[in-house]
Amino acid sequence: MVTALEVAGLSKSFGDARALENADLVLRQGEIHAIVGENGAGKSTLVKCLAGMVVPDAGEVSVRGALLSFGNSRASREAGISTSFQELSLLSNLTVGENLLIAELPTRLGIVGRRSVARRAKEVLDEWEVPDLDPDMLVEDLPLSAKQRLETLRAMYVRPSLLILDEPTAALPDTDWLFAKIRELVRAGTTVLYISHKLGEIRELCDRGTVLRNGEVVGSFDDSNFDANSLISMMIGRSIELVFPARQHELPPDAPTVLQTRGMTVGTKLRGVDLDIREGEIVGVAALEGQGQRALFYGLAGAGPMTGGTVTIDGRPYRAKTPRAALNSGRGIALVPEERKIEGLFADLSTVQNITSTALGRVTSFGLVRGAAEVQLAAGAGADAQLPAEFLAREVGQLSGGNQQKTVLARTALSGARVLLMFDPTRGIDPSAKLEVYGMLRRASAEGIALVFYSTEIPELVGLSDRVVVLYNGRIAAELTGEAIREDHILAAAVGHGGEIPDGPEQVK
Amino acid sequence: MTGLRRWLGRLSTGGTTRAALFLLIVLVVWDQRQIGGLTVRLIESYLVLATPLIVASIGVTLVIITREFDLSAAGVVTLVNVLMATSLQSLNPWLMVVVFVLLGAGIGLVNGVLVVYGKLPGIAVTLATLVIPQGLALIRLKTPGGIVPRTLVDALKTHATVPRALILILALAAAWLVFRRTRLGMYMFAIGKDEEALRLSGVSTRAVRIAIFSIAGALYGFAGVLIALTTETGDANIGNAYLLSTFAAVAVGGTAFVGGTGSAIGSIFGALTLVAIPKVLFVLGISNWMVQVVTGIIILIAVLLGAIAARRAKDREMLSAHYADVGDDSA
Repeated sequence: MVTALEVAGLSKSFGDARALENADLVLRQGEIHAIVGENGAGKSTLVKCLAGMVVPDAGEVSVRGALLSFGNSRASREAGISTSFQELSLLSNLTVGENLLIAELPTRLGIVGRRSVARRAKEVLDEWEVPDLDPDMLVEDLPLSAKQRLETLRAMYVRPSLLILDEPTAALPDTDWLFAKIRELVRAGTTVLYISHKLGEIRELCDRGTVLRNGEVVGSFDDSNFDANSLISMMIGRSIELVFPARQHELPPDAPTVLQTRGMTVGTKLRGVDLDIREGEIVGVAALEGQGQRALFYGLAGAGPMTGGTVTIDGRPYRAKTPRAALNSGRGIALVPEERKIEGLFADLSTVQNITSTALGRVTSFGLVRGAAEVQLAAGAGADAQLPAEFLAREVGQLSGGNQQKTVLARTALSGARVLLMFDPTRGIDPSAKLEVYGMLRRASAEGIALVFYSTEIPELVGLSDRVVVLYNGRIAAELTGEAIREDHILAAAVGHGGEIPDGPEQVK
Repeated sequence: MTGLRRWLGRLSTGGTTRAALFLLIVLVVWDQRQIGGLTVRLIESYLVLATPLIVASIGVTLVIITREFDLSAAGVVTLVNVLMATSLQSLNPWLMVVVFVLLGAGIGLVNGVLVVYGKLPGIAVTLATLVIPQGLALIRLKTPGGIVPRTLVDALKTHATVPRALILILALAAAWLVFRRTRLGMYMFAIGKDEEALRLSGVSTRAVRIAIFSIAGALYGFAGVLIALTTETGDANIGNAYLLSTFAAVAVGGTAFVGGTGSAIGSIFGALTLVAIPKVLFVLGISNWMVQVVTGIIILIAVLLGAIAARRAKDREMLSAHYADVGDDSA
């Protein structure tokens, strides 16, 4: 058995966040090896370490017995590694041909000739049976599926000895072309590392696979007849049991609908979503990375564009162009965004100022903010959010993630919103702070606020939601209520796997 | 109204075309009101006068295209102008030019290295490399003066059938057309659009950034030489005029300050327009004190038309994304 790639003890942390922990991996010559795992399991970090884009903190990688030097994309390329990236590495202001040949643009007397680029690119496109791509077209004019195809073709046409494909089908409507080409390469001796969360594809294409969770290798499978359910439970793992606060009062069956969307569309990211969210209801949104959840939340909050469909609040049509309009429109939608440090808070201002920043009108006289009244207002809201009073005078930037989250919640409570959208509210905060956020969710719900929250942690969705909506490829793939809200159901729908859920994006109508 | 809007739309699509049109309007007005019209002599001296700003603003254009900022132009031109009039006088004058262009490139290299390896914002780094050379120039030459090599002055200013300055400007335009099709030129546009994507594509983005800062610095050095040749003196305060006018020339030239897009030819037109404005105001009998106001208004119009173009491009992008969606569904 020849070893194509050997990864030994690879570790990488970004700040406090651990992305890869002592990961080991061995690829046999000529195999198609799958890497599966949830969001944040470390898949993309592994890819970037291999491609020379990220320098790992510890560990070794050898390619066909030769040690790979890290952080050097040229070294990785010369070792025969070629990568198609999940986030697409195309330059939109260059043509298809220029993108295809970018690392080795052909020059004559130092000039990159338009025609020689087009000619060479055309040869490649013909050879790889991609007739619909025009080498002279600007990449920014291509639809997403064509960009995805170009990204994978650019990794494949150099006929690498190790091909890495990171979520190559995220935007690809049909996989026939891709899989045929991958198999052609493998017949010619290429080894493939295939990163995907679509279990159907992996079953069809891959020989073996490795499961990552929280940066660690937690399991593997040796043939394509793997049991999907046991694989899914490997991906979820058994983390610390968090106790979710129970609902205090039953949701009344006749609770009126607060937020309603019909055919809500955001470009190609969200395609016709119908939602009905009732007073006091907690709706969890589950989705793997990039399935339209951001478009849904930001579109509703007026922080992103909406290209089609209608939204009503309490039966009245609503369309916000800015977050401020969303907050002020009639009774208001408030968004607690992801990446609070960047988007949601003013790190240099005090906690008091952050809490009152959207409600300054209440404590302003003659255009001046009354300091004492501001502090009083912030203290009240902060106490409701379980934010210890001693933090009020500190700069928000110095607070822990959990206390920052409470600050955002306190501010949102002051804004008097009717609908609260929370995008991954517990990301990166410690377990006790998580519990406090859960409690806050429950209290908001008890006050009749309609709550929609997205979380990458499926147990949270199960523990807190009255209803779970699973997004896949910009559409609702499943809507689960009551006993049907289970981790395995959610994950199965999120990976496009499961009874009533069709397996390919082109069949999802 | 719709006719006007369509006309504005068409006008706003190409930045360089827009800049050429501005220049044309300015020159026509000048020609109409100048007693005896625009003579060859007049044009010749006008072109000579414009060369330093043209060269410096091409340098700034390159950096702007990479989505960075470079204030050092004014510093480098000042230092080189003063050194041209005071130092290395025993050297072969042409060798002097080479040395000063390399001095500019060296300062650009420092900018690039500090931005790339120090991970510092270009505006902060080049603020330092703006002020330090200006300070050195003041130490070297407290009051304007010095001697500039006659050979070089004559080389630029001697009357010829085809003005020397025009040859220089055409050569710069040709060099631009070639440069943007070199690998470095293409990476320059790519890095301004999406640095991370270029890095993931396997291109050393650090090398590209440092190279562009260095080339820009070399151009500033050359612009400093040209200032010495046009004014035939050294002046440690000359740079102040260049600090804003280089950026103004880039803006009037139709290069949007967003990265990944821009044209040195546009900047040539922009610089020529800015240099013509005082002349035109003079022949129109408008006070010289109005120059800044008029320049500001022209910058505003240029930027406004550029923004309209950008918005239209964005609309098109949204639409094409929408159509792509429809296409995917029917597949």
